[in-house]
Amino acid sequence: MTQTIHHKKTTRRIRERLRGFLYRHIRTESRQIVLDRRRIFILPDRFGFVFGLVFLSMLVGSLNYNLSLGFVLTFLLGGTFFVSILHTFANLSGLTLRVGMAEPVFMGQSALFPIQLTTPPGRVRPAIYLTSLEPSSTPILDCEVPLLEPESQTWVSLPISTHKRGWHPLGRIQIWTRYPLGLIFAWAPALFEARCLVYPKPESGPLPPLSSHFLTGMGTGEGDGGDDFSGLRDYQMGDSPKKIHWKAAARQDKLLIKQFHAGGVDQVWLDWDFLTGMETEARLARLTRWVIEARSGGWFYGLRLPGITLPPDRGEHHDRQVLKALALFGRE
Amino acid sequence: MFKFFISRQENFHPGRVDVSQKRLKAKPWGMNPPDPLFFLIIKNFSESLAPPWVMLWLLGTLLLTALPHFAHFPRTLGMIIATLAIGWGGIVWKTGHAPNASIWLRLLVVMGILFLVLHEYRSIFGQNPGIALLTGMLFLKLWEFKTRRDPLVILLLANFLAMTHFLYSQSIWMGLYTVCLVSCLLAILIALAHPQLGQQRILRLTGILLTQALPVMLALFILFPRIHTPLWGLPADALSSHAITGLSESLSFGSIDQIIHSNKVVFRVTFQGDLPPPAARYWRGLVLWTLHDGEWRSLQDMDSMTPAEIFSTGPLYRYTITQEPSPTPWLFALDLPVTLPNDAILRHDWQIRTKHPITTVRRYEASSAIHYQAGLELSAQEQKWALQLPKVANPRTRALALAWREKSHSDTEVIQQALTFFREEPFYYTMKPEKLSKHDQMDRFLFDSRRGFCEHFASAFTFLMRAAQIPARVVIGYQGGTRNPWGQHVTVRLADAHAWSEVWLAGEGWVRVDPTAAVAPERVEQENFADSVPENDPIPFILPPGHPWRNFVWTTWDWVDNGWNQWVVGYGVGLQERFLLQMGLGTVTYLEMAMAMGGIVGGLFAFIALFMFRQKQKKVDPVVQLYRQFRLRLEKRGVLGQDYEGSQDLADRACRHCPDKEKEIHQITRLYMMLRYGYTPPKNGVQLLRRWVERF
Repeated sequence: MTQTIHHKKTTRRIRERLRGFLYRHIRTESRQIVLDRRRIFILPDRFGFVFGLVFLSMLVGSLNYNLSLGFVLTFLLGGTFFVSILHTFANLSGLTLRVGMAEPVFMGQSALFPIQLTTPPGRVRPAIYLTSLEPSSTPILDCEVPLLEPESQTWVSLPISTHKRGWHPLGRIQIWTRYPLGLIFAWAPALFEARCLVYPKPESGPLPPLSSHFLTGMGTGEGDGGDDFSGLRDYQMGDSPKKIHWKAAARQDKLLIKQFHAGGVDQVWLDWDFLTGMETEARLARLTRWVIEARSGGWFYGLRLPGITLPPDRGEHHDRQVLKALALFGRE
Repeated sequence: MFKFFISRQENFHPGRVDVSQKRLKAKPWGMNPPDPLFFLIIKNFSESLAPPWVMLWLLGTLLLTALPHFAHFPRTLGMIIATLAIGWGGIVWKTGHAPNASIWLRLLVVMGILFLVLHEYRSIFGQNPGIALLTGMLFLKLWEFKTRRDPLVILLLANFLAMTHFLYSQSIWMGLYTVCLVSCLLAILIALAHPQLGQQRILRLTGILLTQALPVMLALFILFPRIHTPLWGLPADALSSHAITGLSESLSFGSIDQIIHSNKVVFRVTFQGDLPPPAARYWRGLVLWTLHDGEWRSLQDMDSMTPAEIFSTGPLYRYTITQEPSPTPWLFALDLPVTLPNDAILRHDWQIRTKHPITTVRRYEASSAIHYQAGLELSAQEQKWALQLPKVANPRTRALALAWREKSHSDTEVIQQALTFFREEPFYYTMKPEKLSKHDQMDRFLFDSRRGFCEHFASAFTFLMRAAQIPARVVIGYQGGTRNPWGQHVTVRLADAHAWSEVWLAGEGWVRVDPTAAVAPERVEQENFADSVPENDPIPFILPPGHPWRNFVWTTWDWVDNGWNQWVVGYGVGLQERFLLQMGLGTVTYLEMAMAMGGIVGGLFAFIALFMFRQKQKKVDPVVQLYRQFRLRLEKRGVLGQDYEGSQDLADRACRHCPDKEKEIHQITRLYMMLRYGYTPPKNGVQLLRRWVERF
């Protein structure tokens, strides 16, 4: 058992070396990648070699028995294999890849990186797949790209599994095809700057109720979730359009948000210091869980982390900021 | 039981849950739980390896691939294969999933097939048992359909199986059939890899691939070096499979009779130039010297002797023969052969032996003289052989010969008397002679039955000559043949088998004497055109005898078949050498041939690539092109144009970035916008734009 593992490690190391050598020209791209001659690699796969064996035995058989028609058949097959190399290559050649912003996810969920494929005019591109090459992203999922029409743009979501909170880079991906015979493998590596924010994994199971811990500082904050109108504030990204005070906005030159007085109890501080005696990740997990609870409860909540304080608020923008702070805690 | 199996499999591939779950998810048989017995046969069902239609295509093509072999399989093996195929096909049809048989059942079937093959062929090695085994295993493999590997292995080996048909026949039909098979197998290969393409696209793709592969195939076919000798010995049963049984190596009463009713083609001859007159179309085969027990036999001692000298006294005829596969190593040539192919050995008695077995259609070139003086010297040993007769037996025949001898002054006169005897006595030439007992055969034929066939006449004549002390021998081969008006070639069939005599005369050498011609001159002298198609000829189209188109179809077919045999099936060392010579390449080494092959195939590859990658060049507006250039130049200065950005915005941003070029940037942008969007674009604007952009 250990031997196999060791063996696997060696194989992996060799493979990494080889990749390093082959892909030495491949640089990180921020914008787009056009698949050209230098980027596309092409090799027969396992079954391509089996095909080669069958071809050789047919050739030897034709020679030994002096079968003229045997040669015809053998060379027809060989010729087909030969020209199919071109078709395999042409299937990838000229495609343009762009990567979009991935929505943040909680750790353990798959980050979905949107990848745009632009097809040049000419031919349709069937049977193309995208795969992440990062060893951390197991299970390796092959993401099938639907048939690409010429001169079209298609978005595909490439799922990447996440194991750590913080920024998760897309890493090396590979676009590949076995079109048309399934015997030749053509691939192009791509390295984008894209990354996805991974929030800590929320703690699961029963958790101590929020109220018993965090009711400090209650009633002091100002929110906009309660029933009593208390005033106007400036628009922030993520605010619901329903809360925009349109009349006021029309009078002044900016969007204003109606604010309401919070009804007391539903304003909480999620405070790092209250979770003493726990490990960092466990604390973050619980805080994250609380953020989710608070959000679903519609509470005003603030976050206190060592060095970071986010005043109580609510709304999507606030949620994102809080979760981002949790995700990047100690990482930057 | 199969649930356990599945869960184990899942643990086995923890990392690939998505794939393996799909692959191994068991599919219940219909709605009701199946019979417990059922699991002895089917372990589980494979899912999503291939859609049902692909699997049914695969099965159908596999059946078609095996079909021609069924004729020579043991019947039980055929039944096992049919059961495997029908059972599998039925389950796929009904459930849409491929069944996997349990390992025990598969082992059992393997044992069964092995036993059958051993029982039938007494071996598992060799051509026939090998093919039987391969076919059986391919069909059994259907019942193990778990990973992508399984159908692929079936498909790739099926290609090999398709080729084995050529061991039995290399006819046009078999060629077409096999190319169809390989096309289907290719289509299934594509369908297995990408079933989502849909049937229509798959078929079209197969067509495109095959069309593009065609020139590559042609180049390789012509240039790939051929060899004379097999790489290693052929299996013992390699020859028996498809060779036609032609003349046997001995002659006795009734031996030719066995083949004379067959219309199978033995060889076809295409002459370069004139055809020899019909009466001279003797195709020399075997020379028989010794008579023993009423049977004429060839002399083994001749094998090592150098050929006797031949002096041609007339024109030489050059021709190409395409000979069908034969179990014996003898080649045929027009009487007498002067030049022969390299790999043929001319024996002392001008019998031609080839160094290599005639396993497939053999094409060779030769030339012959029909007027000659040959073998003027007769050694004492030869004379002894040529006068050998059994000690006692046939007293009346001997007496007759001695009587002629006494009356005559020369050998020629004896021969004349013998021919006159055949001509004037009531001898009949018949295809159905009565059977004569071995005892005193010649006497019975010459004096009692007097109904015979060429073998009787040749045999009796040679006997008479030897009895009259004239050295003589029997030659068997073919005579005549059917001339095809299309191709000016002569088709020689088994029905043309013939036997004649050769006598040795001092000062003249060996002279051909055909006693049959004395009895039935029309047998020899008639020019056989294709209009005398035998009634029972197996022509490819079923036309009743007497149908006006019958002859036309027959001659055309014969012509096409000859061309096919000559140029395609017979393409070997000889033709390749000649072809390369005609191309002006001379003698070519293997290395040069490999280089030529590489060059041509590489060139074709490049050509197809060019054809494929030739972008449909859209006419791009020169203004747009120039503006693109401008943007590229801006990019070099660090201003990256964004897709969403208008040209004015880009210009503003660029100016902020490099204020020193502000004037130029605005100039170019304004001109570009005027040219592209303005109502009245300025004249010479494009030139101006080009100049500005280039200067920028």
